[in-house]
Amino acid sequence: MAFVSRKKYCYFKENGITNIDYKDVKLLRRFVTEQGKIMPRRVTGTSAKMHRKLIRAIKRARNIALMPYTQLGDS
Amino acid sequence: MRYYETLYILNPEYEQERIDNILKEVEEEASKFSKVINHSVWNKKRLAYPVDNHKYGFYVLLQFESEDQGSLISFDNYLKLNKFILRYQNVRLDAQPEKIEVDDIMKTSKAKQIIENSQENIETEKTSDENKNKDAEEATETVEEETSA
Repeated sequence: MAFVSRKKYCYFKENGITNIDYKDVKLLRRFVTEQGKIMPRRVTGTSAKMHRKLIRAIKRARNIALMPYTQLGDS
Repeated sequence: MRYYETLYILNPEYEQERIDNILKEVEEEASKFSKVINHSVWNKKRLAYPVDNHKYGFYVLLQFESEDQGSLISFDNYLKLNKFILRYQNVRLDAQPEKIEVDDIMKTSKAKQIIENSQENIETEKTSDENKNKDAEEATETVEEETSA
């Protein structure tokens, strides 16, 4: 088979994380694109509940300048 | 009883003395209506985007518990009008925050994690190395004190 679909899973459920801290930038970086956009749930596989919490954390981090609203590519 | 957290950014060009004075002022204002749990400087960091034409900033974390929700509005106003504070954010916490000793802030694994996470440029790494050295010195000092006591 040429195409083998990877099993998507929720990162937070897998690691037993229940609360997402907006100060934990390293974790949040995994869920945004290079441009700083929040990645959709269909790409990351995050559960709906945790995705809502994730979005809130990312937006808080953006507000206090820990994460960028937008970012140009490195090229 | 509710727990709150304020993260604010100070001008990076201030000296240590001035920062201490500002921290003292803010703590006084906060302790008027609440019980301060943690209040300390995180680190000097590169901002994700320029704020008031500043590329860097001192992040200060303040955690407190309060019942008086009316005074929170006046505290918010105080932060807004404080010209030393570039930007601030008040957040309500779900659970009681752990108390971090001011001297031990760099030693605690959580603070270390957060600082390591945010280090992407060499300049901040350098400052943290200095802090680590300081911490080591402090640790030895405390040990000496204990032995002498």
